Amino acid sequence: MWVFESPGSLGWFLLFPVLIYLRHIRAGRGGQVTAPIQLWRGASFRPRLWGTRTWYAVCVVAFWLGIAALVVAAAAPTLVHRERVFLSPGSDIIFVLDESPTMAAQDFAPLNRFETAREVIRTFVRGRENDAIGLVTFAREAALRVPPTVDHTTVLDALESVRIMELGDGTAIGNALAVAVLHLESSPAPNRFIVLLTDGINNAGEILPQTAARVAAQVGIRVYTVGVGTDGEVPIEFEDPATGRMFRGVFDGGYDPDLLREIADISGGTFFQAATAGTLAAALQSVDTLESVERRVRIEVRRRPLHREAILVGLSLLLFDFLVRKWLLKEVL
Amino acid sequence: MDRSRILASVKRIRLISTELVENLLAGNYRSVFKGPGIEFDEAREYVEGDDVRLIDWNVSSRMNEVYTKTFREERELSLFLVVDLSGSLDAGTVRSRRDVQNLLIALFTLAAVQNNDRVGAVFFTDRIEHWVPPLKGKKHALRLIQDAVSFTPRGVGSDLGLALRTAGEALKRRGMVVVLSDFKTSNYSRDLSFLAHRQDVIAVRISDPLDRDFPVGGMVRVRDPETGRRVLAKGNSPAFRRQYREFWEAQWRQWRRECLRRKVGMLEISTDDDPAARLIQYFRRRRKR
Amino acid sequence: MTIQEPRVFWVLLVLVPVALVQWRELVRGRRDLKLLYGQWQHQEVMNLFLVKWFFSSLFFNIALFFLVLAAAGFSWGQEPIEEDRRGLDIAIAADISRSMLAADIAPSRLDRSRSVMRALLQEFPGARFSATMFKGHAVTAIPLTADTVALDGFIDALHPNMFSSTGTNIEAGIRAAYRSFYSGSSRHRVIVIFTDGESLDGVPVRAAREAAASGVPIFVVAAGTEAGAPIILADGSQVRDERNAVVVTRLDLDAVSQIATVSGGGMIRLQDGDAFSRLVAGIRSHEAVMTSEGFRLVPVERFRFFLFPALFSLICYSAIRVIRWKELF
Repeated sequence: MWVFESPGSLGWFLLFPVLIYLRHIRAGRGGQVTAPIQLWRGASFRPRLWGTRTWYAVCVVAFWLGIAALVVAAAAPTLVHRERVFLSPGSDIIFVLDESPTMAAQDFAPLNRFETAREVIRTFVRGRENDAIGLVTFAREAALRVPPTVDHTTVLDALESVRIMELGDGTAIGNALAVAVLHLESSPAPNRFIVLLTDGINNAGEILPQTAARVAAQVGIRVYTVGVGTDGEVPIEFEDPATGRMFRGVFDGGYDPDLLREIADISGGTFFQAATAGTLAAALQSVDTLESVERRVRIEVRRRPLHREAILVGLSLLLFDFLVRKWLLKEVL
Repeated sequence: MDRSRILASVKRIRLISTELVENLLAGNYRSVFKGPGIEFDEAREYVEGDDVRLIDWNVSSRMNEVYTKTFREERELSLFLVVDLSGSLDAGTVRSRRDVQNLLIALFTLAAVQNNDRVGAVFFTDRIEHWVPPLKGKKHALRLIQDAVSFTPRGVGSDLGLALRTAGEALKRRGMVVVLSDFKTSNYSRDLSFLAHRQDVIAVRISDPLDRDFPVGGMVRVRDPETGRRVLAKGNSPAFRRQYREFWEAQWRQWRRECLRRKVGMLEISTDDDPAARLIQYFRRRRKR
Repeated sequence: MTIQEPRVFWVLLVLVPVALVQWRELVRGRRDLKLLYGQWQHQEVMNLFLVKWFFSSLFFNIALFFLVLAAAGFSWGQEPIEEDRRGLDIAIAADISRSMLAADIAPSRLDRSRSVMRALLQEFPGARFSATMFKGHAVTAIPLTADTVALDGFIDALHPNMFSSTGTNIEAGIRAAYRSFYSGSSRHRVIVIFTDGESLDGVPVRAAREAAASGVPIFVVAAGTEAGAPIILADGSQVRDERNAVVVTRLDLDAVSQIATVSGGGMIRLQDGDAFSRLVAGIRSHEAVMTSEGFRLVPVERFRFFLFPALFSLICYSAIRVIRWKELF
């Protein structure tokens, strides 16, 4: 938004009609040579100098625009930008996302489980402006993709770059939880929680999920668990990132609801079952509601003065006018 | 112009012109005058040195002596000046057109005085600014010169037609009318032919090098002194200079055509000419015809 | 008194071509007017032209001069703007160009920097950090986070081989570090940059000035000595130039202290024993100054002081040309 810090200076514009009259309209003005160019009440000399006349007109316009730019500069134009500033500390959140091959199961039409999960996480992130959000993904291994940060663009970029099966084949829920707890532990945020999305049974890793959940509970981190997928046979289709080969098949199996419920119970979280895209979105909405905190926001005004730009524009226009008239057109008077 | 400067210039003009008039002009101007004024005066005995062509054979046969005719020009010849005071006359590159004009006025006036002729003038712009009736006498003539130099016109245009018409109506007797103008005006042809019918008219066009060629130079805004119209001029553009020259040449041809058709004498004096020399040259040529 | 944009002074160079054009205008104008106005009033015309030419040129040049001064941003005095901030965000920018491996500070510039970074993490437990590394370009590896584990991992991994890029661009480093702050933060923001100051590309001061305009000071940890040291590669050999002379890398003290001064931060020499405590003191004092008042003091630019004379001169310049004198022009 534009404002003028000292709009009084725009009063210089009142001088414009007078100055324009003096320079361009007044009959007895100077800067011109007196010589007959026509017969009295008769033929008159009309030179065809379109190029020169156009340049001259451009110069006149440039001169007055230049002066106008300087008057505008004198009024101190400022770009005012209002910014929401969060006064209350936000929560620290880590999403723990399963990227094992089974997440490619296509029972969440039109997308597969993984894409659907990605979509709901994206929505969740956008709604938690003041919160630091991190991302841990896992299959056979678990890895921190982004530490909890308020820089949500980085989070969303990282989420976008995750590929199924990059971390092998398997489901190390315990390890993944442990990684997430490790990276939340040092945070001074008053409110910390983990959201675990998985569709498999813990079948890899050295750390038992229950152990990890207990550690989380000790440092005051809640774990929300979401079981993704339906029972029965589902078709699978994904590309192996290591070989680039497409893999197609049918998969039968599911998550372990008892384990997930237990993790949630130990750490003080909640367990959700998501068999469809709708229920998955609803699960994350519930987490959002459960973990809502009071947000105190203040509007801060940031000002960026633009007078320098205006002065430089005016200066350039005046120089243009001067150089074209005196150098290009070789104006005499 | 202040008074002392006017007096100085009147004095200067008188000095130059008196000399010129005495040396050359006086006889010339009168003899080119084709008016009705040459009348037979008397016949007298031929003296060696007289023009053989003028021997009056009728009288000679009667008198048995060789008699020759003598002539006397009409006494009451009047010279009338039509003087353009319009704004365009103030301009001039080599010198002001007005300077040339003033000098010519002085030359003609003093020549008339020398011949004991009557001299009058009309000064005009877009109106009749000043009227000096044709009168005799040195005092009157000097007065006329002083008026020409010091007069400050109120108008700026140049209605030559009006001046010619006025002169034509006011001058009852046949005489000589000299128009001193730059002819940067229009619609005068009817009045010119009306006047030329009854008077012996010489059109003196006071021109300037700028009336033909625009000097090579940068861009400049040019304002017309009479109408205030403005154009951009670009002296370093050959196309512009060509257009300029074409325009003024067309006007010049137009003027010559007007004069020739009405058998009006034409004399063009530029500000870079010596006006007296041009004038003498002109009258010499005219006398030979 | 400070000058915000000294680069604008380069614009003063246009006064040279302008003066040349004006001189040509005088010479040419005399010639042209002689042809247009003739000899009979030559002296009068020339005098008038000289007077008009002199004063209009003078006023035009004065106007240009004052406009440049106005745009250069002279400022004196300070005015407070409301800004209530609590807590601390620190953006760490680490130079990982090859010269950081030089051992003029034992064990190496980079190793010593590393220990200062780790100490910094411990010194400000409530703070959030981001980590940027730069060479010819800059990469923000860790976004703003309170996760010290991730930060520790990053610090351990810092090495010139982390990504390939030639040259050293401190400006890019500062900009990337500044971008890692997010806009809705109500915390104090500080950039700590570890570098030996040899910036081959970019204009660090420009970025520093912009950061300062938003109230972000830059603390420069100058890694290196002015005496310099050869660069040791992993195989123990030294970097040599085409003529096989050993390349010695030296701390560019002027460059680094300029960044610190312009941004209102500080410069700390890594080889000093109290380097870390001085860095901490600097950051704390920045925090303290701002927290106590809820205001931030910003310099007041006095551009109108120069702009009005410029406008006045321009009006004179224009008026001289259009007022007809002596019924000539």
